[in-house]
Amino acid sequence: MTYAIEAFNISKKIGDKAILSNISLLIPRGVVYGFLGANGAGKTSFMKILMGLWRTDSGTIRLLDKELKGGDAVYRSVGSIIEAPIFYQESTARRNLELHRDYLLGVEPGRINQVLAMVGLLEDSDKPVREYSLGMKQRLAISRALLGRPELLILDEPLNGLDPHGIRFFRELVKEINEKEGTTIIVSSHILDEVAKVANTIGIISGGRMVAEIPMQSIGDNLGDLEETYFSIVQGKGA
Amino acid sequence: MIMVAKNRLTGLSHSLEMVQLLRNETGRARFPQYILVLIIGNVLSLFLAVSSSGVMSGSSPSGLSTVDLGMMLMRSVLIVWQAVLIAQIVIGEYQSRTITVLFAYPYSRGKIITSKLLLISSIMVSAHLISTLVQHVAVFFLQSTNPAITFTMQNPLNIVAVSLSSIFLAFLPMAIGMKFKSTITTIVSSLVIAAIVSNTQGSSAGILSNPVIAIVLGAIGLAAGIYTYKNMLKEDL
Repeated sequence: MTYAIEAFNISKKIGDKAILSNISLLIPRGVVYGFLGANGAGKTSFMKILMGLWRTDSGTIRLLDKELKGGDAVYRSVGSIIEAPIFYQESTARRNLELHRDYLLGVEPGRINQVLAMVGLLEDSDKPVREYSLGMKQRLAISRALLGRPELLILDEPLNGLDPHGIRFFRELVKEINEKEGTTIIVSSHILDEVAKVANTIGIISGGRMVAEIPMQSIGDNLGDLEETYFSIVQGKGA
Repeated sequence: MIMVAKNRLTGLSHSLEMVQLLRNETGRARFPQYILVLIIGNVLSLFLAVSSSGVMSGSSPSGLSTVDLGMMLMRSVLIVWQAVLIAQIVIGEYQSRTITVLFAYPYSRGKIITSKLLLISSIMVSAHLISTLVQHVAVFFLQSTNPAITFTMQNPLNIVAVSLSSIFLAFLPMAIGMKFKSTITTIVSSLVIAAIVSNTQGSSAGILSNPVIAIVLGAIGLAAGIYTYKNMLKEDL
């Protein structure tokens, strides 16, 4: 089996505080992996390390079979949203995507309209991002992440700010991209139900440690069981 | 043999990446605005230099030639303007956190920041060159209109040394602005620096007009710039 993400013994301290402790994680290609944890559990920190925004104190990471060294070519095949949807506020949505294209290279013509249409922003694409609601920014961030037809999508709390409509839409989009293009997707959230509905596997992080991995097949439709499992795991082993 | 070819190829792809990054940065630069600033700055410096050369009273209160006065004023303008560019092109990306998007691209941080600094430096070198020419040519032709307008010619090497030094010195506000991730701090600190170096009490045309002091100040700016650059490479964002 080949993996989209292979993390070995990742640790990170800030000052004296251990943010991540010995995280090891294997995410096979082609899955939707839910990364579940309370606020401050270490989800964003881990994803920042995956995207090279943070250095690790120890451990190694391989993305799509390439070991990370910094500024890696592999990021051409990785789409991401980290922490919050961030844009040049004064530029239009379209301009923001054009800038993104200029850095990725090799994006086919027409792809910008395609991804804008996918997230339902084609009509608003000539407005400056400053006029966008958080939900619209979140959608735009998803379209930007998809622009380069990534093999791997790293989405940190992509559901923040989405209304129920947007959440359902996002869920369907994730399924579609995963099934049609075979994209590996890692989605973090602090809301259990949301992750459970899109993921094949759920990884639970607590106090900077991976505490469990649960295949969704073993849960079936009974999300109540998942909640019980989650709390017993987190309270048993967590910080 | 293969190794040599491979090294050449990586060397080539490295410089191609730099070209691409520079092209992206240049595409976002606001050249019409830059030209406007350059015109206004030069006209204003020239006007102030001419009017304080004693056109009205008949004698220059500072004892400076009109050219030296114009150059001093222009350099102060350029120091502040360079800080504005640094704020727009570098610090603004940190303040708005768009830098996290840039750093997630398939280019090293070093190349991304270098492309930004190269763009700023090239704009500034051109700005100093153009302004020096404008001030000298304008005063040269204006001197015949009024005896109080005086043209002198500094040693060209001095001019180059002082101009380069003030470009380096103007990277000091970048170091200060990066500490606070604030565009305002960047610009305010440049105002302070401009005020200090063009203070005419230390030396008649401001301490920056003394090549030795200029080079020392330039070295300080350069050191602060290099220190900041190195921090940018390893900073957690």
